[in-house]
Amino acid sequence: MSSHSALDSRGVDHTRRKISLAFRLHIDIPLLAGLLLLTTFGLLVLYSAGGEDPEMLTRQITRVAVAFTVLFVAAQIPPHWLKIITFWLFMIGLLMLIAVPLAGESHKGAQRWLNLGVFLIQPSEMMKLIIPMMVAAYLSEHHLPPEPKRLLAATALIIFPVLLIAKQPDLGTSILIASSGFFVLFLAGISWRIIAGLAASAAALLPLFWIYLMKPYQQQRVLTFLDPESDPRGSGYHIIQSKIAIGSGGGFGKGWLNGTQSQLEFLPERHTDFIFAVLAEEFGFWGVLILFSLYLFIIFRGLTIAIQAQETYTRLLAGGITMIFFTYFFVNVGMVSGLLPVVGLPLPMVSYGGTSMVTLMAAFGILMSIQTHRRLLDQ
Amino acid sequence: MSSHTITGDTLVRRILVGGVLFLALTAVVWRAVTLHLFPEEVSARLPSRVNQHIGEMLIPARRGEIVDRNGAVLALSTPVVTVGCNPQEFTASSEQRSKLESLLGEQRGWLDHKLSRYTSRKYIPLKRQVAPYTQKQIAALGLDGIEFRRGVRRYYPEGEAMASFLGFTNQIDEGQEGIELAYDEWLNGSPERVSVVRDASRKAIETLGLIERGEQGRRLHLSLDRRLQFLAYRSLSMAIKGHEASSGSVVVLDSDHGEVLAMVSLPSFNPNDPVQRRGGALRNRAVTDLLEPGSTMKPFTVAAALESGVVTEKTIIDTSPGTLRIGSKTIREFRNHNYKEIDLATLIRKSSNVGAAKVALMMRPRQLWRVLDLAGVGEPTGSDFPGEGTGVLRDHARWRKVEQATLSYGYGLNMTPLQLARAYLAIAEDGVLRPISFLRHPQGDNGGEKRRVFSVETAQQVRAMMEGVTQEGGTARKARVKQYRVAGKTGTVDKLVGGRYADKEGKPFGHTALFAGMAPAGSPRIVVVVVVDDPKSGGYTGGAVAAPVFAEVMDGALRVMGISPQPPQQG
Repeated sequence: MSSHSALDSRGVDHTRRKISLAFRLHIDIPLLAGLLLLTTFGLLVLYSAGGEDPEMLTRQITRVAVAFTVLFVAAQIPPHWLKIITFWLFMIGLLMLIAVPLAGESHKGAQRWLNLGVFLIQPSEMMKLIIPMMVAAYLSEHHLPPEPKRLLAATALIIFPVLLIAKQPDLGTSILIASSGFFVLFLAGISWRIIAGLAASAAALLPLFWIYLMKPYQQQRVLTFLDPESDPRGSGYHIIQSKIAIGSGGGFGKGWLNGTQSQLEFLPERHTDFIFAVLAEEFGFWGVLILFSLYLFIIFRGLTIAIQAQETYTRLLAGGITMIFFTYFFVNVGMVSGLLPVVGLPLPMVSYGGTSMVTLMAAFGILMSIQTHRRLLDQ
Repeated sequence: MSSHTITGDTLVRRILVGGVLFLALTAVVWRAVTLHLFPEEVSARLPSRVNQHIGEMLIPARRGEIVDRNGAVLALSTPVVTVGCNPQEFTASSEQRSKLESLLGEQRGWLDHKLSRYTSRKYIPLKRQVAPYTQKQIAALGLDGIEFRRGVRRYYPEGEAMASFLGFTNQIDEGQEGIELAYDEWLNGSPERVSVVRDASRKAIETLGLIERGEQGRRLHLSLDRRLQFLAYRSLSMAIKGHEASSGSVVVLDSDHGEVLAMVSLPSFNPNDPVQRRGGALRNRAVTDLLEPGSTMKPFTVAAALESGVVTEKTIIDTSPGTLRIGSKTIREFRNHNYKEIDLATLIRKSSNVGAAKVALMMRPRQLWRVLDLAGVGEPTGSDFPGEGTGVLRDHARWRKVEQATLSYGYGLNMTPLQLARAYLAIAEDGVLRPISFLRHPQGDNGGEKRRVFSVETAQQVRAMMEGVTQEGGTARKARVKQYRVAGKTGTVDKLVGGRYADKEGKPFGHTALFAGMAPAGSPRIVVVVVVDDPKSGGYTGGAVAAPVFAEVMDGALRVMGISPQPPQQG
């Protein structure tokens, strides 16, 4: 690989001390440590939220193991290889998204899954990662800031899959993907005038979005968010119960496995989307702060990697990935604590479930790859 | 593009990204702080819900049992369970399903049929009132999703014989009819209040502590005698069957204490079968149904006349020609007899309507009214039985002459069989009336207010006359009881239908056969009233239909109460 050849030319004795084993394995120690701590904490909370079900815990541990394997594999792929396959990944993802409404499977009224014979796959989940990759690859081919024509093309690259996902319906994922794509655009340096224009048109389109794209249950969620007490037994139930859970935790919480809201099943979706409420109830305010610190640490590390990246593509990608992770975290905590409407996003790395964890771990693998495939001579 | 040249715009963008991150984080941290420390700022109702998992539960007290005067159990509450199923968790194999079905006493496939109708529910009651030992057997199967909920079942060992008297309870063991309703508070006790931890489906998980101690239901000791009740029930139902009557009732009183020894109402129902709890069978006719007492009132007419001094024992009354015309109405004797000149004893023995009317017309209205009123006509008996009828006795000031005459032989007023029995207490107890009680009073006195209806002499004279009823030449020789002297009076009442006693051809719509009496005649201990409504075959008079039932019940009552026989009066 290129970095090795560069090292060789410098002389063996002098450089060997600088290059750690981790670096050779393309692992970023701070990021790995942050992720390990977060998943461990997550497993602890999940065991309590899942009603102390050892089988559920075993399944989740298996997923964590698979996700870390994916991370290591992804970290070995040099970024410029990724850039080459990005277009094909995007095309495959797009085709699968188109196939979903035609041949997909439905659960709980949403058609999101494709049955590939061996397992079910959720194409929208993969698109979370592929879209920022695609936008970054596309924009980095020319000078930044992008010309208006390319900007328009990049916007189309984002909008088309987002609309497909929003129609499934999956509001949470479509918002997440749109924001990740536009975040890459922002990092690429589009002019402030365009940003202002986009913001204005978004505001203008919002009513149309409400009327034509949102399903009644999604509209209900927003209305419930605005006034959860209006229907405490129906649509407001989730958010009221989770607020009670968070609020009753106090400073140090009720203790692990002792939360009444979760153990007595008042809290819905407690091992998936609403797991944050379980944590807040059982570990209290300090537990929440520890969790926030872990996320903040990971996000900070991701942004550092983005800043240190040497190419436009890797920098845009690293920034985009970190922002997806941040958005995930912020939207989930925001909705569970009643700051945002309920959109159905898991708490990354903690909620029960494999798909989003594997996708995010692959993304962190790419981050590590970006960090460890740098040409160190430049430093 | 190199990362080393940081333009001003890049810096601005980095600061903006950092700023957004910072703001977002501040927002969620601030949210966590407010939710933890100042929940009332987020929502005023939040703090009160923090303890939503702690609630109150009532553990119902076990309802007291009802026993007869000798302590035999007449009504008993036993714990049962309702077996329910949560279809979401129910995963039993088909072999386990069939075992469950057979334990619940159902056909194969019953369970699947039942579950298939409500798959989305979280709880379906499968079977109510399952015995605890069956619950143990089901629990031993170890099935997921099977739940047991506690309940009670009231069991009545005596079945139909006591049904309309005792009444019954509802699903949560509250009295609904009869004695169960009248003494509901006594029997019920009060539930225990405990605080519990509940899960989101309101199921109690754990008991935290006692809030208020409950009180077990108390035992109700009735004055009823189980054997006598059954005897009266059997005897009356035979009579109803034999005479094709529609209904009937029997009241047996202990005259010394005013206690009810038996009270039967037919038709009855099986109180252990909830399906049968409806319609007229629920009615305790002895207490609720009003009837015109007919000739059973004649002893009171005679007593009133003796009391007011217009006649003596020896007064002779000329009843010729067997009719008496008052205004437009003609009073006739039964089957148009003509008893000619009779004394008061014969009047009672033969049940002369004309005689009674003539005696009544010798008095001022108030004198007759006073005795009837004191005897409790138109007044509750004090039994407090639910739905008790009061009856009607019009005020004497508004009596017409013909009314005074017909009242003398029991028309134009109405009362319940229990009221009739109570009125006869006055004759049995030498003129003293007391309230009726269903409860056994160990001291032998139910504490009610006693009052004198007429003098001792009057009571004894009337009683002696009533003895003649069961003797040669009386209307009810079938009312005789071997080895005991019996005093009584028959009644055969034309039924009042729509304000008329007879149809256009002068044929009565039907009859009510009565017999009211007491024994031993010298010093009565037992009063029995028998009412048989609408007998259609084998006679219809009180002497033919009601008197045999009276004799059978009285015979049993005297033996059950251990009253020693007396030789029949000489002469």
